[in-house]
Amino acid sequence: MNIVVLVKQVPAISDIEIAKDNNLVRVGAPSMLNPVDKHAIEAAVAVKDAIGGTVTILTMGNALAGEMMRDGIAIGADKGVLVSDERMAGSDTLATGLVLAKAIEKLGGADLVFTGKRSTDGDTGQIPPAIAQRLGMALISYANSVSVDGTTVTATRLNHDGIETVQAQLPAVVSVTEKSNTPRSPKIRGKMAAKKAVFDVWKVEDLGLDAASVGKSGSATKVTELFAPEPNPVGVMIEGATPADAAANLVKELTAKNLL
Amino acid sequence: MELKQNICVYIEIAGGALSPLSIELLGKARQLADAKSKQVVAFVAGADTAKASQEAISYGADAVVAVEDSTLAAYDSVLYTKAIAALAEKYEPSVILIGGSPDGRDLGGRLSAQLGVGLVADCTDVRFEGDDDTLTWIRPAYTGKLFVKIQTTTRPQLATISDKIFHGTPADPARKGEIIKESVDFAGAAPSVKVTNFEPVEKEAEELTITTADIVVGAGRGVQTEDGMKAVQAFAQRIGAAFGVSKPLVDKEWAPYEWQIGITGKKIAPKIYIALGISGAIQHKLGIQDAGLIIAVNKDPDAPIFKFAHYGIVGDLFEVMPELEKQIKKIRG
Repeated sequence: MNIVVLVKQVPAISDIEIAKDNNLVRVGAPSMLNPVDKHAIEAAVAVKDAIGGTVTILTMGNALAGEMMRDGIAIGADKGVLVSDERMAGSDTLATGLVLAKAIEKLGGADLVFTGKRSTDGDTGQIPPAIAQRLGMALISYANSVSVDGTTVTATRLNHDGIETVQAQLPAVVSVTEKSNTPRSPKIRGKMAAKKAVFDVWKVEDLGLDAASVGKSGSATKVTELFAPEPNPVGVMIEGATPADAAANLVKELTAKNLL
Repeated sequence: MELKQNICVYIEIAGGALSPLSIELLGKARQLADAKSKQVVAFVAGADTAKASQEAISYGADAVVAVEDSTLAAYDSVLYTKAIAALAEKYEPSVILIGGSPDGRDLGGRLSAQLGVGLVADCTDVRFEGDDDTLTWIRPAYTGKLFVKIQTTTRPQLATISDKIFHGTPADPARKGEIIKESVDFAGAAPSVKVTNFEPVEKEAEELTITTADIVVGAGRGVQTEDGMKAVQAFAQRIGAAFGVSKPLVDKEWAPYEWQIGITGKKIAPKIYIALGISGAIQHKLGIQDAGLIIAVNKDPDAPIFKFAHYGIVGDLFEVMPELEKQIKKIRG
């Protein structure tokens, strides 16, 4: 069983403050592993423990992003691959999905791909479906529990105000929530392996991609502005022939401004 | 009717009818289409789409394009992507709005990869800022403290939209619209994911507290009597708001200290604070200044609260309350 875990390096911003001049004040350390990704790694290692297989951690990012994979090696992942190429900087979900799908193909495909439900920075949750579509795999997103036998993955997830139990034939992409498992702690031996691990680094050419299809040129979205919400003005008096009329006018005003 | 280059909405069917989120999207699509003299076209897929199609028209669609196939009885992200991608290729929409439900987000991600177009996830607003058909999408960043504006450079412009952001327009059963059936070849296709069990989760009656509720109603001296205060409390309950009071009502022992809003009581930060008969003494002001929106009703036009409330009504709170309740309930349907 070939199991791939996608992880991501995210800014370790525990909080963000907006200064009076509208500049951002980032609170916290520079970068960390996207928190929910620990659960994706645990899910993969648990499948390996139960039915055997190889767990490969795959990440895309700058040279430092590779370091995010060591915690996974420490708890039982077999190897890690870093896709890192400055031409990929600024990739949106369209370009990132393409790169990661190509990387999984280069790994020889996967029976199972685990991801965290979302990243704390981009926070779109769009990579799991993008990869499933590109690789022709089933998708179970937002899984709160996962079990795998040789050919089938079964999971529970919240949907339509209830708990669904869903089943898919492998190969499948599964994105997991924090509820899906409790990540194990590394043992001494794992820590040693993690320290010594050397990761392959793949570039655009290694994936058989054209540089134009990745990075900013391969992206179809652009951020045009980052802004703080404008405070609502104070002291607006709502008039009406009677207090009841004023109440009706108030609700009209709130509705028009999308405040209600 | 020109069916290309329009504002399209992917409609989700829940229990045979439109999902509430689909109704919200149709309302927004209607506004966007009217701004550019375009049509609202609803895309729908399922085993039986008749009822949802009719409803989509009554909620603002000019036309519905339906892919009806027994294979589509239950939502499946592979099969539904195939159906909606086929419609996108044929009708070349300017925009496709997709509800940000778990299923909608899966569909959006797959469609983006399938069509090779950009996708903006979990938008909380969208508007035209220029003369062409480019939409500016707005979504929260950094846990909602900031927002980003995003544009997509490809067509259709694809986005998922969070729920309870937009309001649908009320249904108009007399609205007319065209319903077009399209067939997509699902020969040999089978759902990729099977739902083997479903357990509805009873929505827990969440206890409303002044420190956690989205809406808080506060009562002050303007209630005049203990019964007056109780009437305000009942109003709060009926509109789904938590209830608190200003210090004088606690001093009169009409309300326990736990209900007191203010610097010597509880500091609150609801999305909406409705202050009824509260003059706005400094000690109360300091307890509510983190509220997103402050609405004040007071008989006295010179009450200090009107200086820092976002909206104010001068009048008797007992005349304002019933109408407010009626209007709020109307909006919520």
